[in-house]
Amino acid sequence: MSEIIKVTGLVKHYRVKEKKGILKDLFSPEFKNISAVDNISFSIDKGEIVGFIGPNGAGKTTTIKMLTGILHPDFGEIISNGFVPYKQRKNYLKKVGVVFGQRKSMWPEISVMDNLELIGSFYNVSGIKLKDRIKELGKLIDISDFINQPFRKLSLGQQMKAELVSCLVYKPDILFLDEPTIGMDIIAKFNFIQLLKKINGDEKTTIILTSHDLSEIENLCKRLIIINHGKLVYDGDFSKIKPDEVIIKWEDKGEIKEKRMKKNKVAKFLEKIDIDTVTIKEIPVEEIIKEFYK
Amino acid sequence: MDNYFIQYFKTNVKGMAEFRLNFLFDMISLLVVNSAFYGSVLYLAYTNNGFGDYSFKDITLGLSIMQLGYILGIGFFKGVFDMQENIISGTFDSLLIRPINSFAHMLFSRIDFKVIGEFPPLIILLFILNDISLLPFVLFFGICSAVIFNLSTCLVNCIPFFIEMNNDIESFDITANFSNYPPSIFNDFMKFLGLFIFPGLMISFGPVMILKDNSFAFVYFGFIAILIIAFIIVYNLGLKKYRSAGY
Ligand SMILES: Nc1ncnc2c1ncn2[C@@H]1O[C@H](COP(=O)(O)OP(=O)(O)O)[C@@H](O)[C@H]1O
Ligand SMILES: [Mg+2]
Repeated sequence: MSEIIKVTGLVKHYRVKEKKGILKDLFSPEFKNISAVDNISFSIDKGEIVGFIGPNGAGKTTTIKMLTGILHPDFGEIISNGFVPYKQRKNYLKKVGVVFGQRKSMWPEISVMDNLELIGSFYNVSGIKLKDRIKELGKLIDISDFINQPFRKLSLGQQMKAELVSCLVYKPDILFLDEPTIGMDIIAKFNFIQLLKKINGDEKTTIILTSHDLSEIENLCKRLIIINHGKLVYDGDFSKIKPDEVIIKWEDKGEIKEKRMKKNKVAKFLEKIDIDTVTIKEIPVEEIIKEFYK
Repeated sequence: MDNYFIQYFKTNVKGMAEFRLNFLFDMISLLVVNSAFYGSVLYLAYTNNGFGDYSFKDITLGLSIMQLGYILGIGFFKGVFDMQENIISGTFDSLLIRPINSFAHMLFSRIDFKVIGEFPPLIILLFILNDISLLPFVLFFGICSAVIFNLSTCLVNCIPFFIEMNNDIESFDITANFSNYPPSIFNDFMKFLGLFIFPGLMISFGPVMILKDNSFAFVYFGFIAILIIAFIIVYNLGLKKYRSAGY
């Protein structure tokens, strides 16, 4: 497989005011540097789907913003799709799609179709070419129900679909999605994740997405990059950090009991307890991550 | 050329159509405010026989240029005036994720159609001026005024690239106040401020000053050249310093 993104020693600081009391802040403010991204290196192959995981404030968004050329890094190198994003932003972005879950890029007051025409014009996709492409994408993402409605009147899930289509019309090589499922309900989340799978399969798009919720991307990403406090904590197979333990709950003389145990010991254990009261749960992936975060 | 310019125009028309009552109201209030303002300044100039060495005609000419400058500058390039807010809130990102020139798109992205309400005062001013031979002069320097006004506004609007802010800095009001009166009512210090720091005088009476003293043309066009160079440098530095927002 060939490498499409290579990041070495990426660093980004933010200078923020330190709160020391009203008078002090006013007359002699003190500043401190936050290391939002602290010496991160990784590389990503063409066609991969990689999940960027970390708690709030870990540095995921800052990393995505550097990968997409919005922010200039303080130190380190990025080569993405053959470009240095912050130096060759305009050429680089012709083949890159970016979606921020927290901030929509479409104009709220005009319809989705009008938005697509506007955005398409930035990428030289317009007129019949645009219509054909939307039709072609229809098999993947159906937005025909709401394509003529003003963007601001759509539900969150619909808005995200529309944003996604606006990226796919120009066939990007790489898709960056920053917390794309934020605010969606479980069903919308599930559908959205399925959609990304199909896009990756059908269009061979490399996808990098961030999330602070491991379970939601469990079925999507084979590879996981975990960051915390700006540092890379884990980079590898999702399956390797999947636990070999489960949580068992059962009733014992009217008392509810809970226990973590290895999966291969479960069968034997079940023989000893009242089988009608048993529930078995996967260990929440957040907990596994917590072990990394320590 | 790219067709994004036409697309932005269409987008703006559609956006306006969606809120057309809003638009109508804004337009009418603009018309009333401007007519009242020009009416009172011109009345004073007329009854006083001009101010200092600026005759009634000079003043009408200056105000016509200024009015055209504001129509072009504010009406067609409304995006410029959202720049500070966009940098502070991080919405500027949405320009940077596109394979486009962020500045050109900021310029063309928003048209303020209520500017239509600014045309009647301009037409009345030109009627009062009553000199067809001056029309090309008004047109040319009206465009120059728009350039001066927008570039100096943009320079101020770059400040949040470098300094953390949570509110817009308004230099617009000061500039506009300087542009409303002929230079003859200001002392030298104020004239300097109004010409070079808050270049309101450049926008309105700079061209009239050229008519009175041709050598002022060097200062006028030199000022525009410096503005352009300064803006290009500051904007590109600003993009490097841009920090977006924390979400
Ligand atoms: N524009 C900014 N100015 C100052 N600090 C910021 C800015 N953006 C992010 N930060 C800080 O940098 C750190 C990383 O933020 P971010 O990359 O948004 O994390 P995540 O996306 O993983 O939640 C946080 O501590 C955040 O407060
Ligand atoms: Mg984030």
